Amino acid sequence: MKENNKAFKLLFLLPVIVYTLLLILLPLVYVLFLSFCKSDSYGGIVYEFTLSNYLNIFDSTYLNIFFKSVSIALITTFICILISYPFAIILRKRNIHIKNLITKLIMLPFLTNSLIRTYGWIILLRKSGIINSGLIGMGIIKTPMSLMYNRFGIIVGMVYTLLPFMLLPICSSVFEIDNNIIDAAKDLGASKLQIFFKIILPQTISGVFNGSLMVFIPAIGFFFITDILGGGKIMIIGNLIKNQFLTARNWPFGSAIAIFLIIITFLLVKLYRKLGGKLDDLGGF
Amino acid sequence: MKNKFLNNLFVILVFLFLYLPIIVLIIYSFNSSQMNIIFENWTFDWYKEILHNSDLIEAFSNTLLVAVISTVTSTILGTISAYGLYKYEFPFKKLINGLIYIPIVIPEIVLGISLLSIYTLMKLQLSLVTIILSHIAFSIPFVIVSIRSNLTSQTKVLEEAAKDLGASPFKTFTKIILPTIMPGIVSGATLAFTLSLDDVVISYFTSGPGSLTLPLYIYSVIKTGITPDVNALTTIMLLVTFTILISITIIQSRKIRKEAL
Amino acid sequence: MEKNVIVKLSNVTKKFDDTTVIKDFSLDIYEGEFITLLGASGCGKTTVLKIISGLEDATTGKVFIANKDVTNVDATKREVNTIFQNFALFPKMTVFENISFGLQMKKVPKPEIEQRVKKVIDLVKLKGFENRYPHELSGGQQQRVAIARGVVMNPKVLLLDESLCSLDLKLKKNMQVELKRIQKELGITFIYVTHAQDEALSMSDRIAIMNQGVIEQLGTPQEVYSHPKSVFVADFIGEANILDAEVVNIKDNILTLSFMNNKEISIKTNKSFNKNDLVKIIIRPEDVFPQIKEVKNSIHGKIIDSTYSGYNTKLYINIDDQYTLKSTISDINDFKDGQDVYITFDKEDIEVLKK
Repeated sequence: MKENNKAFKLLFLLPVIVYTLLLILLPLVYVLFLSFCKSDSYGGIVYEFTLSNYLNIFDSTYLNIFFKSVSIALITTFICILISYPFAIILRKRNIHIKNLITKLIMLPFLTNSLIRTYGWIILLRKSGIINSGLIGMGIIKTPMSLMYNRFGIIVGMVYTLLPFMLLPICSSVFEIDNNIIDAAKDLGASKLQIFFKIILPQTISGVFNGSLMVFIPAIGFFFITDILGGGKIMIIGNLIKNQFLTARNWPFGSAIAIFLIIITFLLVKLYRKLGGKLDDLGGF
Repeated sequence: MKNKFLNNLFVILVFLFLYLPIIVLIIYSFNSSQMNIIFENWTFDWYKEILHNSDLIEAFSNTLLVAVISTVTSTILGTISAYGLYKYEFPFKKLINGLIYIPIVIPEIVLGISLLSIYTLMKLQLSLVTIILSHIAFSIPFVIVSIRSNLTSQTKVLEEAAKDLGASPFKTFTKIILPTIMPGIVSGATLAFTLSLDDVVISYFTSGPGSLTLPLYIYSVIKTGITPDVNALTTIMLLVTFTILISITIIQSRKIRKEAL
Repeated sequence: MEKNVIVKLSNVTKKFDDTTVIKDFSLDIYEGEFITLLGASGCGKTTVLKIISGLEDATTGKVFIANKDVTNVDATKREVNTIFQNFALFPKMTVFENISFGLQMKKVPKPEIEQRVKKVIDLVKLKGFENRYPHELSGGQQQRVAIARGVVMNPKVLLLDESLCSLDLKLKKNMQVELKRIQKELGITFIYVTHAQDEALSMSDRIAIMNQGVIEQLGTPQEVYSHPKSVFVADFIGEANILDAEVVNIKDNILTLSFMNNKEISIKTNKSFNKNDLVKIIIRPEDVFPQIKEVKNSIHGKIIDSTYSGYNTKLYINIDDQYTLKSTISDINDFKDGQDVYITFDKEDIEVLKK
C-alpha cells in the first residue's frame, strides 16, 4: 500500500517537475548565459564572458526604441482602462446569464488567429480601405486619411488585440462588488463620481493592475502589429529582439534585451502582488 | 431613458470594435475581386479556390493539428500537475510553483526566443514537433491555474471522506477529484485551444522549414497582398471552432442542470 | 397623544419588466414607531423599503416623507438611511471612515464630523475600534458599524433590511435588545424588514404582514397573533392548527361548528356567518390542552411524537388516524409517546375565518 502511494505521488509530480525545469527554467537560464557571451560577425556564439551586451542597451538608438515601446504600451494600457471601466459598470447590474454570455463574446475573437484579425484592420484602415472610402463616400472628408503605417495604426492594433485582457479582469472585479455597497454609498449621499473614486476604484484596483500587466507586457513584444500596421517604420522592443535573433543574428545581444524585459516584468509582478493581486488571477479568464 | 440608450450604445460599440475585423474578413470572402479592396460582386469562388492553394491547406491543417495535439497533451499534463501540486509536499515546491507562472507573465517573445535557443542548443530540428512542444509549454500553466480554482478546502474534505470509506488514491482521483475539477479542466482546455489558434509569436520563432502554420503563411503573403481564399478559410475555421465551443458549452450547462435536478 | 405620519405611501405600484412586485400599496408610518414589514422572500418587502429610500422608483403612486412629496427626489437627497442586508460596509475603509462617509459627502466641517462620529460610536458601543477594517470585526461589531453609519446622518427614518439575519442565534437575541434600545434613545422611526416572525413579534410596535405585493394584515404583534385575518397570516405568524369546519348552528353569537369527522365545538364570535358556511378554524398549539383522564366534551387522541425545545415541549396528537394536532405544554412529566389523551381547547382564543 505504501509503495503504491509513492508511485502514485511520483506519477503526479514527475510531469510538472520535468516540464518546469526543462521547458521553463532551462531555456531561461540558457538565455541568461547567452546574454553574457560574445558573438562573432557570422552569427555564431563565442563562449567568452562579456558585459558589453548589457552596456549596448544604453546606446541612444536602442534607448529611443525602449522609450517609444514603453510609450506605445502605456497609451495602449490607458485606452484599454478607459474603455473597460464604463463597460463593466454599465453591465454590473445585468443578470448572471448575460454576464456569462458577455465574457464568452469577449473571448470569441481569439478563435481567429490574431495575425489574421490584424490583417482585417488593413482592409479597414488603409488609404483605399473601408473607413476612408466610406467617409469620402459620405462626403465627410475629401482626401483619404493616413490611418495606418503610423503610430495611430499601431495603437489601434494593440488596443484591439489586447483589450480583452483588460475587459475580463476589470469586469470580474467590478461584477464582484456587492450591489448593497453601491446602494449604501448612494443612500449616504455619494454622487456617481464619488461612488466611482471612493468605492469602486479602491475595490477593483487589483483587477485594473492585473489587466494592465496583461496588456502592458505583451504590448512591448507584439512585433507583428508594428510590422503590419506600422509598416516597419516604427520599432518596439519586440522588433528589436526579433531582429537580433532572426536577421542580425546577434543572439547574445537579443538575449540581453530579453533578460532586461524579464527583469521589468518581475518588478511589475512584484508591485502587483504588493497591491494585493493574486498570481492565479493573471491566467484565469 | 436617454442614459440607458447611451449605455447600451457604448457596449455595442465595444463589441463592434472587437468584431469589426472579423466581420470584414467574412464579408470579403464573398467578394469576386482578387484584392481585398473594393467589394464587387457576391461569389463563392474563393471557397472553391481554397482547394487549389496547397500551401494554405497545409498551413491550415498544421495549425489545427498543433492546436489539437497541444490542447490534449497540455490538458492531461496540466490536470495531473494541478492535482499533484495541490496534494503533495516536496522539496523546491515553492520554486516549481513560481516557475509555473512564468509563461503567463513574461512577454511571449521572450518565451519564444528562449525556446528557440534551447532547441538549437539541443540540436533539435525546428519542425511541427518543436511548435507543438512550445504550445504545450505555454498552455500548461493556464490549464493548471484554471483547475486550481476548483481545488478548494471542500475538495480536501471530500478526499478525506473517500479515504475514510476505503477508496484507493487512484479511485479517489478518478471518482472524486476528476468530477469536481471537470469545469476547470474544460475551461482550461478551451483556453489552451484558443491560445494555440491565436498564437503568432511563439510559432514564429519555433517553426522551421516544412512546418508551415497559418500565422507564418499569412506573414509570408501579407506584403504581396492576401487573396480572399484566406478569408474564406478563416470563415470556415471560425464556423468549425465556434460550433465546437458552443457544443462544449451546451453539454456543460446541460450537465450542470442535470446535477442541479 | 396625536400621532404624526412620517412616511406615507399612497397607491404605490412597482413593476419589474412585466412582473408586478408591489400592487397598489398604501401605508402610513408614524413618527417614532418601530414598524416591521414581515413576509417570505419575494413578497416585495425589500422593494417597499427601497422605494422609501429612493433606491428604486415607484412605477406609479406617491411617496411622502415628513409631509413632503419625495416621489421624484433622488436617494442621495432623502432624509432616510438604510442598514443593508449583510451590512454592506465599505471593505477598504476603516470603521471611522465608514461611519463618517455620509457626513463627508454632505461636506460637513471636520470638527463636527469628529464630534458626531464619536457620539454614535459611543451609542453603539464601539469605542476603540475606530481604526479597524470591516474584515477585522466580528459579525456583531460589523452590525454596530452599519447601524452607526446610518444613525450618524440623523435621519428622520432608519430603514433596516433583514439586518439581523446573518447573525447567529445568540447574537441575534442580543442585537434585538440593542436595536430596541438605540431606537428608544434616538426616538426616530425604524422600518424593519424581515422574514423572521420571532424578530417581528419581539421588537415591533406594529407589524405589516405582506404577501405577493400587498399587506395581508396590519396591527400590533398581539393583534396579528391572536386575531389573524387570514389563514396566510395565521400560518405565517407563530404556529397554528388550521382545520376545516362547517357551521351547523348559530344562536346569538355562539357558533356551533362541525370538524374532524363530525365532532362539534361551540365558539363565541362577533363575526357574521350563515348556516352551512364552510370555514377554517385556527387553534394555536398553546390553546390545545391534553389530559390523561377523560373529561366532558373532550376529544380523544393518541400522542405519536414529541419534541423538546428547552422551555417547552411540543406534542403531536393523532386523532382518528386522520388528523394531527400540535400542542405545546410546559410540563411533559405526565405524557409519553403512544399514550391516549383527551383534548380540550381554550375557546376564547380560537379564530374562525371564512374560506
